[in-house]
Amino acid sequence: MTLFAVDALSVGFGSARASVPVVDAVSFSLAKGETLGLVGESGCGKTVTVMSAIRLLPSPPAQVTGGSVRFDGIDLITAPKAQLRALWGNRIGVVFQNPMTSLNPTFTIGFQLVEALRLHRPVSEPQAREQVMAMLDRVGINSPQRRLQQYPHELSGGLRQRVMIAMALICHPELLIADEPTTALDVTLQAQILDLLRSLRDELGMGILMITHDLGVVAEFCDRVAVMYAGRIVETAAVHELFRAPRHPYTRGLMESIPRMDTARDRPLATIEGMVPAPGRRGAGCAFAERCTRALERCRAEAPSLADDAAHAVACWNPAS
Amino acid sequence: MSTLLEVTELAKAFPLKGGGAIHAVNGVSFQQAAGETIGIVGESGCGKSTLGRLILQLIRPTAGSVRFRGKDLTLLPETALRPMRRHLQMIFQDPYAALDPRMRVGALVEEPLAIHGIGTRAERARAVAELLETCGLPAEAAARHPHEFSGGQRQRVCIARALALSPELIVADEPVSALDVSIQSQILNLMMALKRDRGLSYLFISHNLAVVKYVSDRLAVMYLGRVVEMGPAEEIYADPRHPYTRALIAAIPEPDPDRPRDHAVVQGDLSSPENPPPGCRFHPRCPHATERCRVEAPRPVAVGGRDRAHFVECHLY
Repeated sequence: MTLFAVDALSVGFGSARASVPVVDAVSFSLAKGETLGLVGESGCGKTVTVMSAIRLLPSPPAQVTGGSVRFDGIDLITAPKAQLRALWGNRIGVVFQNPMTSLNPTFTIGFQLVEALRLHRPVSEPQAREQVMAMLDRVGINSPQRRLQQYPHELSGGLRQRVMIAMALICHPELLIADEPTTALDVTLQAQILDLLRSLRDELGMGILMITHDLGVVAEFCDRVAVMYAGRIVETAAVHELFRAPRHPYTRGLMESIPRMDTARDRPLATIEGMVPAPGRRGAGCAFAERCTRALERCRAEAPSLADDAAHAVACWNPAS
Repeated sequence: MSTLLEVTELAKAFPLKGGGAIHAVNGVSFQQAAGETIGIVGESGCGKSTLGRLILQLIRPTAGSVRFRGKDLTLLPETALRPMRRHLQMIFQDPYAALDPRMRVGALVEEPLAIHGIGTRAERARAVAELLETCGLPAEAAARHPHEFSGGQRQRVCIARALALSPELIVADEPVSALDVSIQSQILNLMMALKRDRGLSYLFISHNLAVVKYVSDRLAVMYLGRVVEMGPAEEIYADPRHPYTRALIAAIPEPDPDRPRDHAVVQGDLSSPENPPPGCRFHPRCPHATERCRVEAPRPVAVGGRDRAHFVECHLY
């Protein structure tokens, strides 16, 4: 059953008269209990897509210029603020990338977690503290009693990120949005956090939308993947399929350019020459054409669209087979 | 091969207000041959960046020595150190912060030459043009400011600047961590080509084991200020001995969904370098810890490799 559906979402930045398109007709959907990875490099629009879909980006400057977003039948684009506030932190949980700027430095961890719970649930203060402690325990924080009294700056990066995750999960959301939840963490901690999210997903049946630039995290954690480039989804498939047979030249380039533990040292790494075009300078054709080794005449003139509803869809005039 | 660098029992303690100290680097020793690349891996707070800075004498050690071509840099006063610095250069993690935004790229690359009084203006201009070309930047780049360039291009400018004095050793501290993956491989390829063409040695510091392994001849794994395992890169990857090295390798998410997935092997956080645990520093997180590990710090043990080059600090061996 579809939990979250984004349909042809377009987002621009700037004023109504001079808007620079940043996200261009992006569509994807997520079922209950499913994990979708949205991957791409910095500036590809992955965070803007998701944060504007759940209406967390301030407008202006961000403007939804087209498309629709539905969460459990609710149209988020037209929903009034009061309705959105009842969803945020409640049925939709968000783990932000930087826990240092997402927690309030002037309140204790306990205060912030209790507030997040009591905003949405009719529980007393002592009951709330009990639930908060149970959640801190779940996310692997030792001696939660003591942590509740502490301020964010007193915690290490790993602990802060776990507090963020506890806050996102405290109301048992149906949809968890995780924006690079482990990017700021060391690999041994990352492995612990991914384990935790996996077991909570299975237990609570959450849908998880994972925003990441790390193909390793995608391979280990996601059921399906959508690859973004310059504001568009260029390829989407089940995770095994995408890694087994990537079809878009960009996806292939990304996979080949990552050094792996078994990469031979005597050969240079594969590269994708050139750079991502800036928003507003993407031209009429495929945004990747300038950097693409398989580009045809047609690629520079006309932008390919993503095939609808196919299990493995690719937006390319000349995909690898 | 001749020894380029010899680090012996190097230590740095940063004093804390109100007593106590952070023992960021605590008794590190190794040798580096000319033309060799040594990779230093470890998680945040393990002391890898401090080690890099100590070797360049950007900060002075509390104990131990750093011999470069036989000369102990720790004994040299600042004035005697300056002429040595042309042989040892550094590339930083953040190419946005490492370049003065008000200077043009040409002036940035020329600056080291000017400081060391090398060449006439015309000669330096020629050298700048050559360096830019070597690093894959267009000649017009010289007249532009850093903000006009992307992260990858800025890192090329930093590399050109580091190369200006034809150093023998470059300490590269997370040189590709701030870059997107499609750009990372361009910079890694450039660094490898420079090593080949100029016989450079790198001390390559990174938290990314796959990147380090690709560029390094030998690998040193650091934990809480100490090198807990060191040896040929291939061998450490194929046969990691220290439980921490094993955990580190197991925790890397590989871009392969069919790889059998290990659950997180170690639990918990890095202990505080202010109060490192007694005995083996890894014992609170180690799945194999015994009573001995809690009380007695392990000594380096050779576990194989040619010339007993692979050693590990662990009571299991």
